[in-house]
Amino acid sequence: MNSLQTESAEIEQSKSPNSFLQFWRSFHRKKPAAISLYFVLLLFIIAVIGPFITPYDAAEPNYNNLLETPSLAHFFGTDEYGRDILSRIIAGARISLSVSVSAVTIGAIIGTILGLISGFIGKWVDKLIMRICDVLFAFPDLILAIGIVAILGPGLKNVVIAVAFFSIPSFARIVRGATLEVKEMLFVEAAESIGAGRLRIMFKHVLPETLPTVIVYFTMNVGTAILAAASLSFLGLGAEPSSPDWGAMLSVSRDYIGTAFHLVFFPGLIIFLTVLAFNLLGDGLREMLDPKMKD
Amino acid sequence: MPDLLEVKNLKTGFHSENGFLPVVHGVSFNVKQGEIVGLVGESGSGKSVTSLSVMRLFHDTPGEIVEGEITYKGKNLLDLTEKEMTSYRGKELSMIFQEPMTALNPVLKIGRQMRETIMMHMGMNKKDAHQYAIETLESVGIPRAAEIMNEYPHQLSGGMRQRVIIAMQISCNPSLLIADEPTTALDVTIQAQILKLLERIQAKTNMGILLITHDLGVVAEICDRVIVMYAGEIVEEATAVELFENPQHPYTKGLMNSVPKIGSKKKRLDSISGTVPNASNMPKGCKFAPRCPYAMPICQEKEPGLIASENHSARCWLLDEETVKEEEKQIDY
Amino acid sequence: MWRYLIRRIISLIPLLLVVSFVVFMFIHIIPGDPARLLAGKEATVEEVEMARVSLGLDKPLYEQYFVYLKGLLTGDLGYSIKSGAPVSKLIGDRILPTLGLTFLSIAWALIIGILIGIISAVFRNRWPDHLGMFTAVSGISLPNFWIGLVLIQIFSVQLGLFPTGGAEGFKSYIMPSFALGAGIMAMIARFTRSSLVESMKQDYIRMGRAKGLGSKQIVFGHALKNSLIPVITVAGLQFGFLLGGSVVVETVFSFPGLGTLLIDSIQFRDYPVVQAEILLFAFQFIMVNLIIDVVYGFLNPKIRLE
Repeated sequence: MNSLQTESAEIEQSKSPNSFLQFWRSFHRKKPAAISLYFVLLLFIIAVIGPFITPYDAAEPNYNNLLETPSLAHFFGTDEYGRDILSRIIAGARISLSVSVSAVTIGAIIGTILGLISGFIGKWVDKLIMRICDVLFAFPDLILAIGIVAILGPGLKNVVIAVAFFSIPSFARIVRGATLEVKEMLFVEAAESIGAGRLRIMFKHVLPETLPTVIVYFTMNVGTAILAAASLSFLGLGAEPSSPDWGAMLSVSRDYIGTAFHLVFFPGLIIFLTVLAFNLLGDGLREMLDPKMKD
Repeated sequence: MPDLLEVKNLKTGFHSENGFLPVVHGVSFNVKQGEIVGLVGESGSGKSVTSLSVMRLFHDTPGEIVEGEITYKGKNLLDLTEKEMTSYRGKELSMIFQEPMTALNPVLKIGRQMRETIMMHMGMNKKDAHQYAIETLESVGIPRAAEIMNEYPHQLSGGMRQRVIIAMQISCNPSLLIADEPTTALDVTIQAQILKLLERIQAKTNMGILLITHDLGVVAEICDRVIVMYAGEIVEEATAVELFENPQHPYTKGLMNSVPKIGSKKKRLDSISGTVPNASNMPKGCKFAPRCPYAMPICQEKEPGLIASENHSARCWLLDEETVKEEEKQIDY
Repeated sequence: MWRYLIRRIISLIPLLLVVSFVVFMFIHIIPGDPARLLAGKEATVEEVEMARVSLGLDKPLYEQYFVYLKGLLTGDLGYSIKSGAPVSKLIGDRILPTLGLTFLSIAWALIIGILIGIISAVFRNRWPDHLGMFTAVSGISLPNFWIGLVLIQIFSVQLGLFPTGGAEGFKSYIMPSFALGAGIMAMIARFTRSSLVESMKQDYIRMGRAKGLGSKQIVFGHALKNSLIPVITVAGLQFGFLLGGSVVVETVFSFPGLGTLLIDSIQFRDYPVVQAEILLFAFQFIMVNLIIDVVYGFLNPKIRLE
């Protein structure tokens, strides 16, 4: 940054500090992120109340309506058993969201704790944890997940474990970096000097400071996790083929490409939109919470 | 001597989330051919923004020139298209910057960076430009110039880099060189060398130099004339000799007291207390009043104009005898 | 430079050892008797015992690991349960198509990604930037198998331009490489943009303008080289994304590569093949990152001339 930019940046900073209301307002100025937030909230509501609002039973075959193209009765058409695809997508929201959110939550908790310990304690503990992360990083994410599912066997529970596993090292690294920064700050030293215990400092002072980073990263990782879980289901390593999981729906509908494209189109579209929403939301949050990332 | 550069009523500022913030408030001055003019002020006084305005260097920044005229050799630079202005930069007007460590591209060899200017402005081919670049480097006192052409910036010291930059910026014989704090980032001994070099180049080429600095010591060393800026305005202007003998504006006096005098036993400098006011909340009257030890009531209310005499002008109510009398009366009663 | 290179390679050795150990343990972590897993589902008790002795599974773990390492160094990766063929041969047959596919993907992802990134940075905050960045965030969010399926529907089923699968001729590589490269293209575009925007703020850019360089010379002659150095690093990190994605994309296009071999082997519980493939993917990833480091060092004069 040259002097001129520093000067104009200083002028910018004369703004008052953010209160929550201001945060909320300026977040809404970022349209893509704000729309994404509402889309994600809608998805969560659908995930909770989904089974009660589906126009048709998502699991009940209807042999009179096989492979129907989209119509007013079935907005997204019907599948090879005559099941309404919209209803199945609604029912599948719960599976996709719960798998990805729980996997990332597990990964984030373990990764954050490891990162905190690594950054805060330092020395050999730090080295050990970082070397373990290096080893995990040596495996491409999806390959690691496939390997874990190969060991544990297919199924959604194992998909959660696999996805959680590959999220750990990146959370650990990011939190470690943030912790090292926070550690330099005065109030940590002050807390140390008044004799506060390490654990207490770590969780009461350092953790809250690293939370913005974790939240941004969490949001973006949910998107990645949805893609990874869908990929595993698509490969036949995740959800049962009969379940309305979005990835599993695509796996089955592959065979109908050329004959009934809507079977392929709609589940993929909803995966895309969901992941897009999480990514845009993450981008927006990052700009808000992490001023370093601003252009 | 004719004016090489004449700046009239220049207003420049930044666009920000809170609207437009003016930084330079109607500045006017000139630089004659063969003259070294010092533009002095603290950081935030608008002196750098003024110099960038002359070069019109606000790409990728929120800066904008909103009013005024910048006449160079009879032509208003603000009327030129960006393309025309581009052909002026480096050839007619050049600029060197404060940070020699970052002003050169770290991934390109010195030779490439020297040559491109020469090839562009002087229409030379690569071979001739190479030879010419070596000669220019030698002329600014760089030993083993031919070898340095093949080196990267990080292989050179700060002083060497500043010499390379000076060579680069004078290689196409510009008539005006703007030097923005060219010695601030350098060691004291190197500082003197670089100033000497600028003086020598000026004597040889008869170019005009606008030297931006916060250091009156530097001004005393080489400048013919001095312009003192404060909070985006010119507060005093005089020949260098006159200014040092008879500083009129309290701000200039304050700046002079903060220059260490050789042989002085005082360890600490009397610097002016307080800081330059922020662009977003300028005082109503004289902009220096809040920091001025001689401030009168009128200073808080009304801004003084430039009060000129021969070879000297300053923006201060103290120079207006009638006002001073009026003020004294009010205090008496 | 050489010292840098050698130091990098030496520092990788412990990582390679640990990774190979983790993969070696793979067969021992799977619930059940390794000898039975390796002898196959239909093996009799005698066959299982024979496998135990012939594969050295009766020996202590560390000894088994050394035997495994020795095998790795001599190219002996064991035998497939399904076909009985040497694993190295199975992999050898499949590796070229996969390498071709990944390199084609990364090649076009780099070209188009960098192009979009430059356009976005140059037209910052104007419509080409918004369009470019929307394309990029979409590319990151699209499931690659869905891109593949949509491409098949449009270009194979509707237009009949490309084969739906296989690896015969250049034509059959086009759609898979597009599906595989889209995500990485998007990340490269985003990163190029932000890196270029950052470069454009540097002092030497202002200096270049003061010399009288035009915008084209500023972007292509000065800013781009500096911006691309970190882009190369990011492309390397994202290579893992490509390796993982290749498994999925190959499945969509029934592409005879390492990915489909991996999925077939998992379904058949052909563990020696699975184990070797995972190791291979990890080694590829490590090697690519080594190469990227070297390229980075080469592009950055500060490291090269050290």
